[in-house]
Amino acid sequence: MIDYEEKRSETRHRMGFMTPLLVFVLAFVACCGVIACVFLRAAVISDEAARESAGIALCRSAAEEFRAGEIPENGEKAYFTKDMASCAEADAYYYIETEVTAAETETGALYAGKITAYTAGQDKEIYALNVRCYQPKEGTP
Amino acid sequence: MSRNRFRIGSIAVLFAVVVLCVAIFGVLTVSSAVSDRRAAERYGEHVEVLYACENAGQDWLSEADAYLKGAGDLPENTEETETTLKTEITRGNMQLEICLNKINGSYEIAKWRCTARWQPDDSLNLG
Repeated sequence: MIDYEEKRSETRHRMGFMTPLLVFVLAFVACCGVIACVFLRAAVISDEAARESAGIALCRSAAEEFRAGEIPENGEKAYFTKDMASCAEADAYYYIETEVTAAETETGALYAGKITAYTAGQDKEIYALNVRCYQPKEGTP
Repeated sequence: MSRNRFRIGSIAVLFAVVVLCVAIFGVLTVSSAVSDRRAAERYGEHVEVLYACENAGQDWLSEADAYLKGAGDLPENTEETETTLKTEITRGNMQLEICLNKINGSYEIAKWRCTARWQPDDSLNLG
């Protein structure tokens, strides 16, 4: 003869043990999920900071060349890897584009450049820098 | 039965401590990343001001060059002596000092110095 009362008691006992365990496991999984999101967010912010720093460094480097008199063609692009080494367009992680305008005067030319750094994958602007360079005309005293 | 409960409790405490530690590391990581981004932004702002100052210097140089070659007027905010042309340009907290030495109708750049202006904090009474 089956003792239903005993069976019910046994089931209640198991459930009494399993319920807090399940609650605990669910709480642990939820905590892990939240913490994973926090780390993911940190990684995204860190990546943004690295991109911004790289963009500034690339723009500044190009601006110094510009000021030294190495004026690029208008719309010229230069491509760089993630480590900021010069590379081909296909391997680029960043690129910079330089817009150049020149104001000729009697005694020389004032070149104005806008150097903009982008991420190559998304074409997203990272940083822009305006630079000018005055070059006196040769032959003027 | 009591033994089972004890085991679950110890594991729960262990996991809770682990989760707490990892959560603290997570918060510190986010804080560090935010600081990095803020530092990058501030550096970007500094570079912008620095180049604004340098660009104004190049504008002044073009005007001074034209003046010295007899093709323009004396630039604004310029101090002229018999042998020199001087100016000071300020943009934000950056200051650019330029001095040109006149040499037989031409010139040489004797000084081109860009510095950050420092303002002493005298809000505390230390006397």
